[in-house]
Amino acid sequence: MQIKSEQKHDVIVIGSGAAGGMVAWNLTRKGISVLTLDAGTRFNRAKFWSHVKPWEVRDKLAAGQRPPEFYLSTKEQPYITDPKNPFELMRVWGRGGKTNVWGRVALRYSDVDFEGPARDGWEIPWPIRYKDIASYYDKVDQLIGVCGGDDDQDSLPGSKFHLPPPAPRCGERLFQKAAKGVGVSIVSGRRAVLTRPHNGHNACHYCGACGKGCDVAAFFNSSDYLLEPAFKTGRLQIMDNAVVARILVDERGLASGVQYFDRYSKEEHKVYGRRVVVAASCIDSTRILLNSKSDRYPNGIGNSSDVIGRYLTEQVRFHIQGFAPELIGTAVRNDDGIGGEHIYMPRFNHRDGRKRDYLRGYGSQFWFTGAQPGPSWAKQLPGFGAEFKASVKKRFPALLSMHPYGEVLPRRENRVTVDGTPLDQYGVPVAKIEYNIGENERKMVDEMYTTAEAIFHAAKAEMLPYQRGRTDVLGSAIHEHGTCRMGDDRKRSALNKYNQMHDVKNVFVADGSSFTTASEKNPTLTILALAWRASDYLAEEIRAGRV
Amino acid sequence: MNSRRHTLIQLAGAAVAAAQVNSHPHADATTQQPGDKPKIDPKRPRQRQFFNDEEFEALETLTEFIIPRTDTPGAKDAGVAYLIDERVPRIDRIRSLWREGLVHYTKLSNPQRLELLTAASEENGTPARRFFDLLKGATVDAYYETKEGLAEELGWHGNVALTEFEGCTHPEHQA
Repeated sequence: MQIKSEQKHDVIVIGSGAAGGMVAWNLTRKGISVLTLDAGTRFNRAKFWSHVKPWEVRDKLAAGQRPPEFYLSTKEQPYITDPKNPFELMRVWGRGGKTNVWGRVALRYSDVDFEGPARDGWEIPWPIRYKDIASYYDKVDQLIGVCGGDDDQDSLPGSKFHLPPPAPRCGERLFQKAAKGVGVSIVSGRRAVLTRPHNGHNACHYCGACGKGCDVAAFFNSSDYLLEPAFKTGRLQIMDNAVVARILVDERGLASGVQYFDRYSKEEHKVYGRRVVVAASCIDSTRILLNSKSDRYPNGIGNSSDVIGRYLTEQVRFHIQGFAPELIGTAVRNDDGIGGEHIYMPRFNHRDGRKRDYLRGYGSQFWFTGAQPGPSWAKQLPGFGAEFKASVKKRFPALLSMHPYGEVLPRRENRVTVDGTPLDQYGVPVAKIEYNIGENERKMVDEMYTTAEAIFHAAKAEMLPYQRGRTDVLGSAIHEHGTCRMGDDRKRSALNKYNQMHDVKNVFVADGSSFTTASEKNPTLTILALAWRASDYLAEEIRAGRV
Repeated sequence: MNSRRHTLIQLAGAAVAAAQVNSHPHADATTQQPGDKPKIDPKRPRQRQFFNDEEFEALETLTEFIIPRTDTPGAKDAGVAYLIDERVPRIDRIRSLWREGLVHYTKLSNPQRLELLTAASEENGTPARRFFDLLKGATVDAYYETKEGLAEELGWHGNVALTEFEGCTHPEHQA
């Protein structure tokens, strides 16, 4: 059964996460009507399990209650990856997407990031610099609320609009002290958590359970912060459970609409519009573009350059932990704070004539430092019995936890494809992800370990066992980028500097797939800033009658 | 380790359990009928799902060896063996690891069990050591998420609403 709607929408936006939410919000407030297609439904905040204690989970489940199912199961929507070298893909289908459960780390990219490829010549340069996006970072900070310090660095631009940063925990202070001793700065974190009420949104109450979704929306999520205000304009319509398969093309080669399937009934639908903004998150957007094949676009819409799907980049990371001697055996404090770390180690390897035998850089996060529930580190302590039990208790308040993130270079062979892959339940080819790190990342990881060891050593920490060189499962940073990259050279990029397709002027791609490089930083703040900038440009092009 | 991932694992476990409760694809996880009261019975009798009587008796003793009752509750007080029993994955390989490990302990007296467990903990790379690691890991994971383990023993008192977060107040911790 096929259902067609003859209505022609101003703009169809695919996806409602950071990028899609921002585009919908910005366009509707400028008087443009938007139809947003979301692959799920709204998550009911009143039923989040933010305040369910770990020991209450079992009985709640037995009573038939369940937490919101944020994460898409691979049973429902598979993807293909090499079992021997898997790529872990986390997807949230539902209003707000991954912003419901994101890590809230809100770092600005600097020109150290934007100029990286132009400086070292690895792959194409970014078509923008910090000055092109700085005012958008300012506007995003003001809109969503970002707490942080004024301790900015060349690799971490500051903001005049930060909300007050939360006080560091004891372990975080000790990290800062130790790092200072080895010449490394650890600054206040920049996190999109409201340490004060902001724009009508609630302040954080420091319960620390953000990963289960915030019951009072005290951190930015696209649903409450962007889509709800957009509804109030009367110009936003959202189609729930709309799993987009393809972009439709007219005889001129322009996008004319979108084909989607109802997530549950599996009915096929087609909706029509004058412009399409793709913001389904990196891998799903890429799958949609590659599946949008036609006589005009035999290898996917807008892909004359053959770069779409290629240059998939993420970040390489690991976890290393120890115990601060000052804190072993001390009274347990409530270390929840804003959930996750209050500090950040910005990139520094480019400074002071430091020699390195690899390109790009790394920074570090520190979540789980302090007295945190789920002390699975305890099984790494030796022995058993009363002595073991006492040794866990003594160390519980003292955990120091470091998570360095390094940039992965974009490589042509790291790619997403849909050719010859199995079909999903709607009859649409699933994504196949081929991805690996190389010599550059291995050298960087080696130095990341050296830096971490120096900091832990300066802290005189008692280390938990670790294996130098070991990295986390690929994809686990949940920061996929690069498969529909922007650039000035249309033979080597799919988008221009405003996220508009070189080949198809009424298609914009607004999410992380548009990034030219990954950098070492968490991308969401930059996704929001780029999506705001792209939709400003789109609105202007609409007004001028060019798209 | 990673709090986000930890939550994912919890939720994944929850999803499996939930799927058994309600498998309708349209079922909205977050919708309850008005007036529905959570049907939580804290005294719900613990029922076993996997281990037989003999295995369970040995398992309970072994978990208590790993984390004994001291001035705070031990593994047995916290019902750790029941939690392990509920969570043994439906994977044949893992199930046989448990069965083949426990069988060495079922017929022994408690002092003999302790002796065998101590010996296993001091070996390297043997099947006995691998079973010790499996047992210790499962005991640690289960115990420290119970109220007895996390709140009473470790003293964790988080996940509550605060008006301000105080953070570190120790001048000696400052850089």
